[in-house]
Amino acid sequence: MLDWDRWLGPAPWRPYNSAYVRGAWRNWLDFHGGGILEWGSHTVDLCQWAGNADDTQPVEYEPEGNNSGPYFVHCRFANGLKLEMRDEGWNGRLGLGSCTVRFEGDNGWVETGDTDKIEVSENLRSELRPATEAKLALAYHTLDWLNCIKSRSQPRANADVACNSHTTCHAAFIAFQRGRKLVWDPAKREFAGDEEANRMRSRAMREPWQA
Amino acid sequence: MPSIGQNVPSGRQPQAPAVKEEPKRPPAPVPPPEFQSEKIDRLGQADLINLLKDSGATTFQKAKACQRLAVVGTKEAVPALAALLSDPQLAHYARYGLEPIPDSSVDDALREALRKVKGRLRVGVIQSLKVRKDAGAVGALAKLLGDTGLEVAHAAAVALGGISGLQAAKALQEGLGQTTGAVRAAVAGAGLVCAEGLLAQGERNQALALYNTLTRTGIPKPVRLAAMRGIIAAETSLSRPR
Repeated sequence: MLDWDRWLGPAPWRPYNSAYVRGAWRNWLDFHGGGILEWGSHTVDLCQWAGNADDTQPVEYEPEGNNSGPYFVHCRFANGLKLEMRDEGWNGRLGLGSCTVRFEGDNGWVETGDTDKIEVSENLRSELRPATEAKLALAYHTLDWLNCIKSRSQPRANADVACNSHTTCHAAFIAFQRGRKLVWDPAKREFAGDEEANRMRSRAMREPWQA
Repeated sequence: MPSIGQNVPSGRQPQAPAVKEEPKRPPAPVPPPEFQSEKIDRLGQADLINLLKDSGATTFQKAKACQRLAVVGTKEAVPALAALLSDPQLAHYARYGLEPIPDSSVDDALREALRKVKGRLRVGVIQSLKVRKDAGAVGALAKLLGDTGLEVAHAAAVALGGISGLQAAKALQEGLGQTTGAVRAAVAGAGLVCAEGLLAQGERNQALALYNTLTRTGIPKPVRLAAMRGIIAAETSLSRPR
């Protein structure tokens, strides 16, 4: 038995359709932030961690493409670091599983997904160690959380990290919807010179849901 | 045995290993024409307002007009949106459209609706007053702490905390002495939020006074602990006046 009112939560009310609850809630703006948010929520925090940018967000977001084909959002942090969001299909261009992330530096690259495979540039091949099987990742997160209860330090995937990576995804998705480059102020948490984009940062929640 | 990667020169594609298939999902339903919003999404403000006023427009059309006005609406749209705050099906959509409009007429409209609507619709209006941080609504919200509807009283407490400021702090402190049970717990929790807001506004003494009130016996234990933490954090902060 499904409680449709509870399923909708803070989203605007609409009549029930069984397709929504079987996965077709995707691509309705009332429920879904597109692939950028659906998969960015799994991957952008890794990018920000690798870039030592867990406590901030990119300052520029430039969309390319649209829903009818591959699309991208080119993001840039204040220190020049780039974050490229790419729609490259379920398993990525190297077939390493979903939620693929690629790290590109001056001296090579590393790419991995949610399988146990890692690909690297030729010059880094000698640095590789046997990969931990992906299914242990959850156990490591749980162990990290338990250790942090004892030590009072923050887990690697903590609330601030989630907030900043999700803010990045939302900013990118807003730029994609606006179809133009946007400039973001991480301190003020607002876009420069685009009132429509700023209005898209929040939506009234359906009562009695609230943050 | 875990793979350590194939021997792939930089930039060349290896043969893709076998990976799990993308899960098959049912195709997204295609709405019938009367439930497609593309035309409404392209309308200007004047046409959107006319749609809201049109008695022949459907609920769907008005809902989508409200959502579009959230992005493009100005004070001209406020009366048409506000008229829907008492509509059981469209009230939330009306708030959706009103909340982001940067004009004080929105606050006036919400305060007016606060007097008129009841029950769950009133909760929604209170939520929007909180989001907009309408200090002008504090007096009316303080009175609602004594509302017989638990949801309304609870929402009023939360809103006072979110709006914060000296007047809200005073209302919450008075509310601790005038409420009981779940509402009193909500007032206490709202006090914590209000105190944080006071600190952000530079009202340090008032924040500490509110925290102090929240450490007293009879306040729910989690709130007392949080208030003590708030005092310790404020007193040991590097930004503390010395």
